[in-house]
Amino acid sequence: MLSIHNLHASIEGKKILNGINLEVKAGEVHAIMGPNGSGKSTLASILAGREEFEVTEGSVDFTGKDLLELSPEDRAREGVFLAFQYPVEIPGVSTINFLKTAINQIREYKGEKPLDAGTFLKTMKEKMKLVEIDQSLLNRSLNEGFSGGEKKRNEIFQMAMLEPRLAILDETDSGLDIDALRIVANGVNKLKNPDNAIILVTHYQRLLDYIVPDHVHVLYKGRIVKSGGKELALELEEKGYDWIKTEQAEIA
Amino acid sequence: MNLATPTTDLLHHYHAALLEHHSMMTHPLHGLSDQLNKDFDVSKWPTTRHEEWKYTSLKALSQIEFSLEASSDSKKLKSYLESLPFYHTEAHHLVFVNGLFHSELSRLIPSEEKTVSSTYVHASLIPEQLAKVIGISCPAERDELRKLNNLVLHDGLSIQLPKGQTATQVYVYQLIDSEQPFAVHSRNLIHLAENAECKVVEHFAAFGNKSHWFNPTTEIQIDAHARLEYCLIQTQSDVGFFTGLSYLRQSDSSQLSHHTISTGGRLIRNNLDLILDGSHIESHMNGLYMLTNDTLVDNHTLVDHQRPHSNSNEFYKGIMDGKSCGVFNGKIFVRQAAQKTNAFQSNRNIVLSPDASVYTKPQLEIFADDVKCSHGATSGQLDEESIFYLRSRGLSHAQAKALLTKAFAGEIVERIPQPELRAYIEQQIDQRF
Ligand SMILES: Nc1ncnc2c1ncn2[C@@H]1O[C@H](COP(=O)(O)OP(=O)(O)OP(=O)(O)O)[C@@H](O)[C@H]1O
Ligand SMILES: [Mg+2]
Repeated sequence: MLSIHNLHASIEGKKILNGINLEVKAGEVHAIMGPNGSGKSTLASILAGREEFEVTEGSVDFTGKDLLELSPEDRAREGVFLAFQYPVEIPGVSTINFLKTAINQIREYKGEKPLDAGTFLKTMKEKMKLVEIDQSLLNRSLNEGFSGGEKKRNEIFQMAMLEPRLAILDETDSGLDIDALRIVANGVNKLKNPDNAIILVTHYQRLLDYIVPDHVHVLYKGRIVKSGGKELALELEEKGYDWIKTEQAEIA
Repeated sequence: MNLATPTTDLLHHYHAALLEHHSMMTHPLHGLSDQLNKDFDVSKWPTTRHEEWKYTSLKALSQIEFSLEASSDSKKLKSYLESLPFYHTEAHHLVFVNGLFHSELSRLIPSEEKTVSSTYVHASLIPEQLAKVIGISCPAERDELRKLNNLVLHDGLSIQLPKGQTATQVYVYQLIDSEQPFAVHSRNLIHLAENAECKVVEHFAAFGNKSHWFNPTTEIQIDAHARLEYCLIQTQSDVGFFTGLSYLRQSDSSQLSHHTISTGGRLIRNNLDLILDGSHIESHMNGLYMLTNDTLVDNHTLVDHQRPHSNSNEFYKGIMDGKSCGVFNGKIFVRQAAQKTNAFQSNRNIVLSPDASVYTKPQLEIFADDVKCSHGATSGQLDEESIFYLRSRGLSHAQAKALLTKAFAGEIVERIPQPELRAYIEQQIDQRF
């Protein structure tokens, strides 16, 4: 589904990604871990189409299409979804406000008829239950005055509404209390199916107890330096990143 | 007049024609308007050399040959009015066409005849009431524009509310429909006695492709504990000029919400003067201007805190596209006696095009020591992060921009109390973005 090949990227002349290779197949869950500043959010942003980053080398193929050629909105319409690490506050625009337009844009792109108000409402009610989010939150200005947990829950609610093929969750677990973590994880698990894939960016094993990954990768200095199964996450939890950093220093 | 320069020749002629016209008839406000200053002097016509007119040139206006005659088409006006959602509401609807009251298109509530009517009707019905209000803005007459208004005194809204009374919602329509360039110098006179209350919407619009000019003066006295809600809507075309003064004086514990919404025109200059002559006054002034093409909108506001313990709150927002220009000048005076004043002012602008411009200037003069005053002005583009966020959800670039622009305007629109009016303004915004 997603195939990243030798991806290099920089911002204002500063190199951030230094040759990322990653293969994600339908039905898989990948976890990306790594120390602060290693480039995880940068990778996620580039996949979503943030234009500030300059891709200097490499390619990204998404379901047979050159992802890097597509505008951010066309990537969303193709089924890429990013749950932001730091979702923006937008005064005067509520989630409900833009979500209906978003869904209908995606439908139009796929040649489907716009959703009627009734169906939209029904779907919304269902998904609200799934992530246990309150309607009042969806009517408020996006993220304005939301608690950290509410922001993250709202991101997952949007994911549930948009039903993406590839969901990238950037530290969605940060700032969630234990109950919220479980709710969000359950929501994600219910959305998981053989036709979609999930990339989880996280610092903690905790989340991976709930959403069990098929592959775990360690990103360090803009490169994937280690990949493994779910046991790699346990090892990292126990030992930290120092051993990886040492290993890398020895190679270099 | 030998002082007339070639650029003001036409103005000079216009003034001379007005003088001649008025010398031949008795004005409906005759006897009430005697003390008003009508000594128009074309040599004192405002130019950009005057500090108060630095960014706003009236040159184009002075080069129009205004006619004293206008003919209008009632059928066209009727269908226009019927297209306005608020025209259908249960309320007073006063329609003025080319400066005169149009009784066929208007709907008044007869039982409130002595409180809500046209200025000319009240001048014969309750002249002693009008005498109390007319001319209260004299101290604020800073320029020749007011003198033209004093001379012509076209018909306008009169509300004279006795103590404790509440008037039904009032809608005023000032329309120009003329085959020749035409100007309306209307006069509104409003007095709310103690504890009286009313809501007014005044809508300006013009038809045809001939230049037109609204030059209204509105004088409002709000007595103790009275409450007024006033909304001005300016929807003119690119041949429309507007230069108006709204002068409001408030007494103890009175409340005011004033809104100025401008969606188009070639040049709009709004002067809003608020004299807070009392304590525990609550005043809100909101403004929204959404400009395209070559439109210039200039809001000059003045809040004069004369006594202690009053609050004023001013919030103006602008959206500038094309080659448009937004000017904001907000003066706040806090006199020595006005301790414990709270005065807040904010002017925020979004500039959508590289050719659009904004000039904003707060002017605070504070002579009391125990006051809370704040002001802030911003101007910039739409937030790129927010645009990216919305695009990452599937909205097109244009949709994201439109949504953010509407949200920006929404903060002002939501403060307007009448749902029909909000719907109308939202519709104007939708057409624009
Ligand atoms: N707009 C930017 N301008 C300059 N440097 C940037 C910008 N965005 C990211 N960087 C830098 O790129 C590097 C990678 O940042 P990124 O946000 O991708 O890290 P991360 O792995 O997500 O870290 P964390 O775990 O703290 O979220 C950091 O050194 C960061 O400072
Ligand atoms: Mg990050």
